[in-house]
Amino acid sequence: MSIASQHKIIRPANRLHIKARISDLSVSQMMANAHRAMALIVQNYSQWLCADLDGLSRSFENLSAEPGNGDHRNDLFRISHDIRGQAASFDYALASDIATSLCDFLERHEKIEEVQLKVVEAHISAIRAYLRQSLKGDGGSVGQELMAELSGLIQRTEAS
Amino acid sequence: MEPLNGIDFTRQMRSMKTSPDPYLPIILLSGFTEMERIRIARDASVNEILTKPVSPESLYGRLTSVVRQPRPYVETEQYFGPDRRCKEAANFAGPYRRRPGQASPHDLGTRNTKQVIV
Repeated sequence: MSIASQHKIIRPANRLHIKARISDLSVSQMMANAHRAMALIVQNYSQWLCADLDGLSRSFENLSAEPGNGDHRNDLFRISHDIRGQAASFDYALASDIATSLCDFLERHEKIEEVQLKVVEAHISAIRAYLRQSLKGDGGSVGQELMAELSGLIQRTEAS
Repeated sequence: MEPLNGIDFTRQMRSMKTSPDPYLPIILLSGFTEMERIRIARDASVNEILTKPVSPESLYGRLTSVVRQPRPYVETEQYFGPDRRCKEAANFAGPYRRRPGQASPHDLGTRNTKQVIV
């Protein structure tokens, strides 16, 4: 069989190009508008993050009451995954880093029992402390310290 | 993601039998940045991948890519979706970038050689 007969190249009609409206604005003007819109969201993002933090706390309480419950673990993963994805886009990089660490930990542990609950609690507390101190970005030296503490706690927990 | 994650959604959309539009351009927005996850998304036949954090520039770049420079679609026995090659080598003289049995330098050993010949 020749190489050519093993595949087919298809060029579908470009309907998006027909529908896309040509803006009167230049690309740089559009980007400036988008950055202004994002700046407005950044102002409000701490409220979204607080709401997500409340959700994490509720899920943690549920999981503490029923260690090993997969639904509560999944709730924790879903919310922390949202924070992981959104926070860095809105100038809360450290919250995103903490959430990433929590997501990765949850991925490695299908069942969260009592010993792992301490790690989850430490992550939630770290995000709460970050918000309480009104830090932004990567949190500077405080942020590095927090991440090092979390990393050490995870290593100790997983080694035990 | 409930009830369907982006990868499974893409696979269903590309299914010729059940999809309302198998050629629908799909930009995957993901918080996962690991190379293996990016490969899974690419092989699930998303058109573009955008990893978070998102900036206006990165989003605009992906949108203009699917609108202005859509990739052709490729159909083989094992794959249907946008051409997974996104760069043309400057010194490439064609017609085929790889011959049968010649694996991609990025191949992890999980793909069939035929899939590489697209």
